[in-house]
Amino acid sequence: MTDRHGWAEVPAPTGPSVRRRSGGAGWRVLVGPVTLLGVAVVQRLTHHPRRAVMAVIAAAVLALVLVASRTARRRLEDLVRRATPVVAGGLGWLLLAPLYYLVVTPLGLLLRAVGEPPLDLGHDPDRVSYWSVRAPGRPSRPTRMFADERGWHPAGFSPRQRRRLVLRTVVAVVAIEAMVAGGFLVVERRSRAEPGPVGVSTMFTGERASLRGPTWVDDALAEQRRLTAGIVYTSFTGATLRDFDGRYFDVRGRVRESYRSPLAATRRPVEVWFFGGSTMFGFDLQRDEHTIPSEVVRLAEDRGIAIEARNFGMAGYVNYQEAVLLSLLVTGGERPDLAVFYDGTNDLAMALLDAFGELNPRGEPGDLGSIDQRRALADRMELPDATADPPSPLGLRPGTKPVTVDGVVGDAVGVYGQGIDLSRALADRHGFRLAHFWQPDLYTKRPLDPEEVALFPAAGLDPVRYGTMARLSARVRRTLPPGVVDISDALDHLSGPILSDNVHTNERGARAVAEAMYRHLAPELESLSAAR
Amino acid sequence: MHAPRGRTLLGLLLFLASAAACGRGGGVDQRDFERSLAERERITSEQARCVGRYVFAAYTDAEIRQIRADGFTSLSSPRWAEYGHAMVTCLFHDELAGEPLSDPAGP
Repeated sequence: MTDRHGWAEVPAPTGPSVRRRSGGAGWRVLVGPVTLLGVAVVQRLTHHPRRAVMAVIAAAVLALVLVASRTARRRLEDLVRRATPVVAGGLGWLLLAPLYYLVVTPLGLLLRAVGEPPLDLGHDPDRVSYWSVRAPGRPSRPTRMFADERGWHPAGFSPRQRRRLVLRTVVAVVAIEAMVAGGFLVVERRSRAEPGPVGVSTMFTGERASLRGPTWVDDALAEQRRLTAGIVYTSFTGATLRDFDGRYFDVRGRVRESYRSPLAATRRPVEVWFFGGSTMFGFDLQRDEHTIPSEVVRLAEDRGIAIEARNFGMAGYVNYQEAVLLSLLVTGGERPDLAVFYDGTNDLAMALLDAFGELNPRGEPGDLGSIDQRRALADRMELPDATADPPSPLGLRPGTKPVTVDGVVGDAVGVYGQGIDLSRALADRHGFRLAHFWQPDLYTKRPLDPEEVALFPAAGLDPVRYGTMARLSARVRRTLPPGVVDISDALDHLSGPILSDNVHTNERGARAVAEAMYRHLAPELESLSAAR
Repeated sequence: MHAPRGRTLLGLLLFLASAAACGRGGGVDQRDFERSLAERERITSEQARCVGRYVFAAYTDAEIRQIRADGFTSLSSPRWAEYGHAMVTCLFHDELAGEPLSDPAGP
């Protein structure tokens, strides 16, 4: 049977010795029921008992159908036969692609880099032949089919040693890759630019047109970031800032430094304590000597009145927190001549957050940082079911759904009134005077500078949302408790951008607010000064 | 000859539809979100749709899932404003529409 090509033809199979190819593949029909049983086991293990039962039922039904119907069997077998290469191909790619790119490729690159390419593919004009000469000592024929027996290891390695070598190589390659990736991440993080200046307000925009111009702004914003890193939980008042000694910010004993009038050295000054949120503190962005309290001291000085200001403003404070802080001070034996409160934005924000976000129980004193404290407490407690949900309400002003305008306004003004009530009780008991001011913000300022209108997107506003918020703010102001002085027009008609976000101002804004305050404080300050 | 092709095509479409549904599993269905919001806040479906429009335009899928599961105050505070303003606008806009922006008597 040898032909001219020199190989022997295999005779064609004949007779009964030929095996039917299709006869041995009937097991494939079991794939369906077995797969469904596998699904059932997985569902049971993942705590889905109903799905597990349904999968078992489906497996049983399918098995019965396959037993009863030859057509169904044939169709399923056909389907399995067609699907098998697709699934196998997909799985093979999924499983082997990471191995290829994470192990084989780096190894190949490494071998090329060190001059030991695994395949001899290069062109060499000086070579007579590309046949490789077998190394001495190697067997004359391959002992394993399809294996590269040149090896990276000496001849005589046992299969166990070979497995160990392969495993160690893979682990080493993955470890090196992890280290390289880690190193890259570290370098990338370290080489990242210092974070840009940020404001205390969540709506602060990097554009800050209101702060354009002064050369000290960037330095002051950087210092402000270091200052605010000192925020600390503080009993009864929620949070305060730690002492800070900076060029633009100086905080000691929870009091921000204010302008010191030379008049205070010549006579006993009127002691005025200033309470409020971040706007009273002078965030975003005012220097120590240009905050609202500092400007009030200057205005008084111009009129021959010596004032010593203590600025207790703190980011995020609402009026009730300020009253609690006042109570801590006066029950501890200290006493001002006059306590000035400057609030509004945080108080309305808290009422909205309580109504729509369950930050605190609706209609009762709370604070804007409560969710952070609750989260920390829930995480710290070793109770498996501890949550950061709000506490049970006191029921002072039961909240109802849907939330209404009157409901939110009632909550805001009601809680604000409780703070005023507390501070009045303290003033009566300890003998000092009080002044409460309602602040201006983005919703009250008329007209807005185009640069302030440009803050809308950062503040989550558009003309429709702005208009609604502005009308809500106006409704609140119309229902303020008696005795509160509304100075929400203090920024009106100032030229150029004043606001750096929805409520914080530059130093010109602080001066304008101080002037509006002073118009109402002047009689009190004059009488207090005269009584010295 | 046409019937098996039709069935194959239908099967393929069903497969693609379920694959697409699996891919969408990471997100939150806007209608579901609005339905759940309307139920929780006891607001009308129109108000809920209004909030949904703002929320889905402003937040990522992950944030929306978080809002739905734990409320919007579970987000970091810089992300509160959008939701709060949307709620105020969608619930209060009509009632406040005719009101003046400031008190004629002052300040």
